Amino acid sequence: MLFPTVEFAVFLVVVLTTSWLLMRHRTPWKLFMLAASYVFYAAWDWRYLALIAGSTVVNQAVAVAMGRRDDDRVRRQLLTIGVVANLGLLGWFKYYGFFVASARNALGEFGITPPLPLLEIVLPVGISFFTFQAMSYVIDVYRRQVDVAPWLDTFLYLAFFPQLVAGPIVRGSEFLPQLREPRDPRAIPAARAFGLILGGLFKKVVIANILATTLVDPVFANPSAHGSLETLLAIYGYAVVIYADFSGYTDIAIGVALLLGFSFPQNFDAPYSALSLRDFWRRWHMTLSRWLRDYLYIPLGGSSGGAVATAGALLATMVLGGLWHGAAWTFVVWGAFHGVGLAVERFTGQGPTDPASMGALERGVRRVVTFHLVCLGWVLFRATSLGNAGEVLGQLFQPGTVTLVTPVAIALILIGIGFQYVPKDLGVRVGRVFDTPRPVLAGILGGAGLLLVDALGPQGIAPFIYFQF
Amino acid sequence: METPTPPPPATEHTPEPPLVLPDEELPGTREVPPPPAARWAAGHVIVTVTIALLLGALFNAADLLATAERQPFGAARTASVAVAERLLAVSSALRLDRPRSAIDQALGRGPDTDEPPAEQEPVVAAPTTPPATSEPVAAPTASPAPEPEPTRGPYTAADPLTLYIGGDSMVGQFGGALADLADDTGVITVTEVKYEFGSGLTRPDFVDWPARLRGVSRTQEPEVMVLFFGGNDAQPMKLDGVVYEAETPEWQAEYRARVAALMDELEELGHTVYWMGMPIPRSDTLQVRHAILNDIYSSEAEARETVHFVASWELFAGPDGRFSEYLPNRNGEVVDMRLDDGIHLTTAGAYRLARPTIARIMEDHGIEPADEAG
Repeated sequence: MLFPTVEFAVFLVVVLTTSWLLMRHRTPWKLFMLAASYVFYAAWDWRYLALIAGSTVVNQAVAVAMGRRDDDRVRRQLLTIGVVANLGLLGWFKYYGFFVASARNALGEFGITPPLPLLEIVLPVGISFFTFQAMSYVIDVYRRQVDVAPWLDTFLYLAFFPQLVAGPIVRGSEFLPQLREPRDPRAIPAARAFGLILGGLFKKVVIANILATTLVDPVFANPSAHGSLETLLAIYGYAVVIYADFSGYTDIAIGVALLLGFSFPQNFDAPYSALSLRDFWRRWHMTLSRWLRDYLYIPLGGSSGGAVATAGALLATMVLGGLWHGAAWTFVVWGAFHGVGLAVERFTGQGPTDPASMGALERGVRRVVTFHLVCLGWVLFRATSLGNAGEVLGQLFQPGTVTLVTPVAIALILIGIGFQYVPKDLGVRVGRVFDTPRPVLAGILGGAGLLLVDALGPQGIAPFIYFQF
Repeated sequence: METPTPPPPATEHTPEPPLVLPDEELPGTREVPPPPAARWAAGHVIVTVTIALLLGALFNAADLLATAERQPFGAARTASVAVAERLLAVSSALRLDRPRSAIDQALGRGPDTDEPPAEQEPVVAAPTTPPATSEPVAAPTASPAPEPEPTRGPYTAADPLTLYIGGDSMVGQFGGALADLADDTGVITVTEVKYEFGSGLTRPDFVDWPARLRGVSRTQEPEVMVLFFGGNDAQPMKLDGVVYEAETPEWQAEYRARVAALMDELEELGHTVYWMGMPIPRSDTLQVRHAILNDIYSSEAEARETVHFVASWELFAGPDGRFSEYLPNRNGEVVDMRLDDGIHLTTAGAYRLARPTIARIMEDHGIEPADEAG
């Protein structure tokens, strides 16, 4: 069930109303919310339910077993079981075909055919997200940073529909405590929630969809037909598309969760205003960044070792982070590009993130350079192959006619990038109008917002980019 | 009110949970103070959401009705069309449809604007079954139809062969690949790659492809049209009030008539048409239906001189003749040729189909392959 659809609108009204009516009755509320989340997920394919339920059972069983034991050796063995089970699930559904095809092609050079069949495996929506949440829960239980939750709570934590298919990646320590007591029905930050939902819809349906279909997709599909200016704007356009698409989704997810009484962590913080690549990763997909930091980078040694070990940990973390986005060499190279960039920044002292420590000129130069490095990475990310990425970059130096660059496309790119520089408290100040509940006024404004989103967006709803990850 | 629960606390009053940021290089979130936001009661929120959605539905009622009508025939469609029609009636009575009309008008949007005032109304709910050889309807405002001249040439960069690529979402990957290969020849110019998700010949009420292609013929005058339909076409059709599935003779007669009418019309307008066949899909049910479509396309194309069927079924089957997601590419490497839905092509799959397609177009038009092409 996609957010910008009538089906979801009806679903939301029913779930929102029932949820608040049931809120004081904990177990019925949890059962209802779990059922609603499973209905939401089953709208893609009902067979996915077996997958998420099975994953929950395994992870909770491991967590419960760990919670009953004090012996660290046994706990570590249980942790290994949990991590291997999760990585196995992800590996099977997401990477089997990629690895087998790569192995076949590599070994084929030597005339060897590995005895691994190429199976047709469909990647279930959202598996990367709920698997990472499950892993964080099991690891946090092992680290004694979170208590073992009741079974029903774990089921709901992994399936809670707002963040189920595309994040943010919410930790058990953030979500599970919110299940212990009823949410307060008199304390919903409604203005913020409505702002996030409408803003997210606008970013996705209007900005991302128009730019993708009119400029970015045609250029990447056929790079040689487009000259330098068009290619450059398509690359900028893609930077805006992926930001608007993904942050739009998580904004809607966070807003919907707020309406249900739950707070999720922030996932984006004006990433294109970053002063360095390090700064960028503190602002882009923040819940994935901290996941990689806490469950991969630090266990790999983090910055506690020597320079080579730190660089190695950075590179490994970012390559695996790249691979998390998809089973393709383009994602591996994209991750390696950022890993090398972060290592270079670290060892040249170019990774500061405090704007107060530098002058206006330095800030400006850093922002422009960082944005262009990120854009260079996005070419790898968007390209269908490394050859396609090279072709797109090569076109930056070829003359050509301009046919796809329209005033609308340029305006949307400027809005998408300019949006990063809007003062953070602007939305809060605008929201002050709703310090006093004004349901009728807010409802009328919401209706007008839906009018604009539907009227300005292109026909048909393209799926969110991050669903495939 | 809730007591914060360690660690780290995440209570309803701290929308952004404070995160301990260790002294690490990588990826981390910074603590963002929660904005001081006013708190509403749940009742107010539910009322607001209901008003906003209801109003949004009334403002966009015409679009909702169009979306509902686009669904395959069945109980869900009947119910949503009925609801959308009532919404539109209320919206019109309250004049709440005006803002949307004004925006659409300002944006120059309307149904199939490629086409001048239609001389042939699309049949929406109950198309009648025309005879198998229905008369093509030429656009009265079209410029004089060029004579068929498939052997015109030689083609040069200054005087290239012009090519239009259109259809449903199957064109999404394939169109780019074909256009890329066409560009590589240096003597074929692509006038447009156009695809509409969810469109086809079954539902002219959504996208009226015959009308649109008349517009393309008039405005772009491509010599060659490459058309790719079928991804959405095996859905039920309602004929004379009865819903027929693709397996029924009634459905097939109607669909064949539509294909035939479009082919006749494009032939009459002077275009050489390459009609792409559907590649073998993963689903057994769809295999039956897409085979029906391919049979109609190929037999109708065979009956016409300037319409050519380009088969793709076998190209995407494994050695055993069954669906195969992974197939060898030109270098002998096995690569993923199909998207997860088992219908659409990946970029590699698109090139697998585009190469023989462009080769055939070149051969038919006396164009010698360049080194990089094909």
